[in-house]
Amino acid sequence: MRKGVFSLDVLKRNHVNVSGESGRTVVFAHGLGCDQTVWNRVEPAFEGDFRTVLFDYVGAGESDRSAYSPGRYGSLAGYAKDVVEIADALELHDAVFVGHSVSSMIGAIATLERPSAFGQLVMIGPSPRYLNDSGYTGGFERADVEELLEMMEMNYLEWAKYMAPVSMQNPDRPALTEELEQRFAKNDPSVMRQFAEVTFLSDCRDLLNEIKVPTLILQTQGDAVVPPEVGRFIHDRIPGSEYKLMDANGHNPQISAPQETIRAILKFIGE
Amino acid sequence: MDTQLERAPVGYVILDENWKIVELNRTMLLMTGSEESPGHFRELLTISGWMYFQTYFLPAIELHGYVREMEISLRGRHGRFPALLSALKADGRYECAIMAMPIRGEYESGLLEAKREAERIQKKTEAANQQLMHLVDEIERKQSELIGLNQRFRKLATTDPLTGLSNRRAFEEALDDLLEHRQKEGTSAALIMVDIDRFKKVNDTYGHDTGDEVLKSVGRTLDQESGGFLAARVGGEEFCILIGGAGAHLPVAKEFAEHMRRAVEAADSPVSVTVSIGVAEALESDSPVDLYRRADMALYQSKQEGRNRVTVASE
Repeated sequence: MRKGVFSLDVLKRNHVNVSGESGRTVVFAHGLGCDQTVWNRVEPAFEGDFRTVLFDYVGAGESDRSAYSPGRYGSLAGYAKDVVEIADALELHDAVFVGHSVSSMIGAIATLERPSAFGQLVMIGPSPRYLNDSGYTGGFERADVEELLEMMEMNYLEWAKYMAPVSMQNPDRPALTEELEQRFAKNDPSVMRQFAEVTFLSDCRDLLNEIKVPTLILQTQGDAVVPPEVGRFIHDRIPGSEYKLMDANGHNPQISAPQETIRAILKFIGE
Repeated sequence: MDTQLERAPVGYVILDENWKIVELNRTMLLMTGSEESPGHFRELLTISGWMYFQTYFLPAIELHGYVREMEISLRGRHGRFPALLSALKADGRYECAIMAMPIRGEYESGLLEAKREAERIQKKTEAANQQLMHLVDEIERKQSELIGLNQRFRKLATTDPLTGLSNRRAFEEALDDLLEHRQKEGTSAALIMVDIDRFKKVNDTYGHDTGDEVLKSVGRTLDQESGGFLAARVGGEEFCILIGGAGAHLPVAKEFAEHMRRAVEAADSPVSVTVSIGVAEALESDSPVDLYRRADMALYQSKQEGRNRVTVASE
């Protein structure tokens, strides 16, 4: 039996939250620089008809940071392992994987690892490669990424403070928040830096035409992280994929346009 | 916008929810070096600044309603420069205060560079340490290898390869030690010399392989019966046992030798053989050679008197 100490460990490690008892499972996967709370405006709409799964990647949110190792998380495959292990622990079958940003590609890797676990894939603001290459516009030069990493490092403490009350969801209890701030501040900024580095230097282009599950690509207007042509690029390469250009603006439609995001996902998964 | 806000020593920008610039003060314009409002906040930021803004600013401000002290890259007339951004969300708009910090930014970049340098050095040191630890491990491994080899060579140098008993060299060393000990401490010492009877005939009749088996068998018996005293093969079919302490007194040593003679006679050997034995207790004046010679003479006497017997050397 899979359910045992092992699955409990994984669920705790990735701070997995399961809501809703019946129906198909929808897994929401956060992107770089945030945690599962980024789905706060979207996930509740699914609880009635679906079983929803929220989690934090190791190193993010309220995950068990002691489980972090630079080796495992030195590539997107390591993050996909988190997803696969969660899928195993929850014995997922034919679930929907909704990935924001870098989680789109992490999800793609996970569906290849565990085809039976995932039946549909929703990519929000995906990019298979952020750096420009000959004949490919990723949107960024190496120097841009360096500058971004530097900004992240400069802002690390401020970012840590942002994460703290989010996880706590107790802004009216400042003492607890402060304690969490301390905890996050102590966390090694290199974890965040490595996630960013792994993300922005990743290249998943060859993976796209391997994807077997029905896939929806959601792209927004004026996404600073992903140029418009990248969405098309992905759509052309994932066999049978659907592409939708949203009205929403910016890289985080699940925050800025939750209703449109919910509608698009529901339409795709057939409810 | 009132005059004071226009010239406040900080950039002030109001954005709508799509980050279009609704209003900005003159300081902000001066900071970016443009004549008129750029229209969209994106125009103020570098590529990575805009990317960073979307990735981190939005989730933060949506959750808390404000962002404080976010360092971000701005685009100016003379290239990029770092700025500090604080913002709050009110009535569906973002109100941003932006303070350019080229000097402080340079200082911070320096700190960051120093930090990275320190990390590099630390990594290098760790790597060097690790290499050192590897070398220490290597040396320890080699050392124990050497000790092992030494033990092996020592064993090879002191062991008779056929019977596994001590060889002549080890025997001579032990004899010297025993007699030296006797001189110093007055402990008794005796030498029992054993020779297989008619061994040449065994070899001639059954071949050398069988002869070797007989040697091994006798060696095994002597080893088993020697009670912890050193048993050595000192020549072709000749063995010696060295006895120290009370067991070296003649009546006891003779009985001991007799016991061994019977054991060889009774042993399960490919060819039954007997042994002749000479026993000599060391005298005050005996050198190793003297003791050896007297035991040898006693052995000779056993041979003379019909073999398969024990003779004690006279004083």
